[in-house]
Amino acid sequence: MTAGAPLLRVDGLTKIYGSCCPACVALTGPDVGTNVCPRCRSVVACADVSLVVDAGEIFGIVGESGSGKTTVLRCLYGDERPTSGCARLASLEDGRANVFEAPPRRRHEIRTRLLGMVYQHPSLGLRMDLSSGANIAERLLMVGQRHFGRIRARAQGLLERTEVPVSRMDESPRRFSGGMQQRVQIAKALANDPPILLLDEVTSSLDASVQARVLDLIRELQRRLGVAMIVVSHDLGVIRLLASRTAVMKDGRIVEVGLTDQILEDPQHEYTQLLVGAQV
Amino acid sequence: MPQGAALVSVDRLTKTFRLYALGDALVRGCAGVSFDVGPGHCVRLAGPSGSGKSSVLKCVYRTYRPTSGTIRYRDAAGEMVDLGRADDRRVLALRRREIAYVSQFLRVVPRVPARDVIAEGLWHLGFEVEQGRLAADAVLDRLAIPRALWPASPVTFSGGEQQRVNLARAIVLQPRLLLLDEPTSALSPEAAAVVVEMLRDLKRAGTAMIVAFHDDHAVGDLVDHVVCMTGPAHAGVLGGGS
Repeated sequence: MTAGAPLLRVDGLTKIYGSCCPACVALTGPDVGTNVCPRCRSVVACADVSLVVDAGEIFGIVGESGSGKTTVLRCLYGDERPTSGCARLASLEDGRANVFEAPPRRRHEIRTRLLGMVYQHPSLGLRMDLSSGANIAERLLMVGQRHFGRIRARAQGLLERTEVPVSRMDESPRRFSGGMQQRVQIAKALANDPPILLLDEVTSSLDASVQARVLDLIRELQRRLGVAMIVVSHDLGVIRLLASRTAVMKDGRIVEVGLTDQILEDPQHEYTQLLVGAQV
Repeated sequence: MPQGAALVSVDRLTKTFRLYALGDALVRGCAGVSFDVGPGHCVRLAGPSGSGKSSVLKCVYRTYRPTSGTIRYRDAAGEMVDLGRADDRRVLALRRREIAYVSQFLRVVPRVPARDVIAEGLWHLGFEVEQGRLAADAVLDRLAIPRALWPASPVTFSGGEQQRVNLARAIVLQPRLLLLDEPTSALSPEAAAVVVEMLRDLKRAGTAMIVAFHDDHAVGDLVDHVVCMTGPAHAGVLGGGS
């Protein structure tokens, strides 16, 4: 028995902001404690990031702010253009095509059909000038759905699934609480049944009780829909409850990857030990 | 037991923690532990607290990465795998289907009802929602968790109830290998007897068990073989550090 082909495979993902010199990667990282290249002042947001995600799995990325974890998500989703690297999706040309090199139209299709993104700030993922129903409809229209009744029914179903009162689907999410805005964002990201959901600090700005409800929802969606996820968080508690495997990032690099319980109970890297030791 | 029949063969297992915050101190979890467990057999790790019983269990479950030695496991397909070195994804697949671990602490997403916490593992194996819940209910019933508590989150339960929920999560899966860390420590003698009875049933059905018990009268005739983890060779601080 082997683990089989993964749903997503990322190899050597690197994103550098700035003029970029040949020494950028060598002169930055956790060993030197910075992600700013001393020679050309470019910022190495992430470098040599490789990971695999299996179908239905929740993969965690943990690290402090500035460690590059959000950049990884943004590159995957297409908000940023990586400097180099390769990402393959099993559902895209049988895993042969590099997502990062897809032509613009193809890239847009990947973003609307094969991936869903939930941002830390709802204002990045939702259009506050539209109703929550219309926010979901927007994603459905992108993939060519035109039947009004079906679109509305789908939006209703998604809002029910994410525990947003359907009676409020014609209201702008601006008027919703933080927790409910995140649930609308999740509903929107799920609109086209993507096999992978990318979640960036989705519970970080929520109260503990609201956070628990969103975490429970995420687990429920994974279980019921079998959707795989990459969950990015600075909070080891969130990672512990959600992720089966976790990568630890520091200064733009993955310093350690392992089973989440191993990361928490037998951290190998010095930085991971520090992170786990600092947990409240 | 003939050599070839072992389901798990632990050979000279050693775990040493390197703690950077303590100036690279080396702390020993366990050292040179060897034993075999066959299907339907139960090995008890015995010894005072700190003797490394939990370390052995956690290495087998791969919560700890062993420092040296091997943990050879024969999976359901008959393939041999060293649990200490296998790919994480491979270990996850085994945890889902074959190897269960009952820790001393319950960690769950808040708000999820006890019966769903228990059914979750079955859902991952493809059980229908109701089917999983019914199986969970049967185990909860047998473990004498009051019916009124089933829809509540186990976060609110007493220590003994939480311990039984932990056990229920593992038992419901009918694993090939069950790892138990002091599974009756918070239980009354009556509740402990029920747990031992359920473990005996699992054994009869072929489940192999490795159990850390510091006191032996709770387990009765469940245990086939005892591995004594006393002696300074087995645990302690090795020095190093500043």
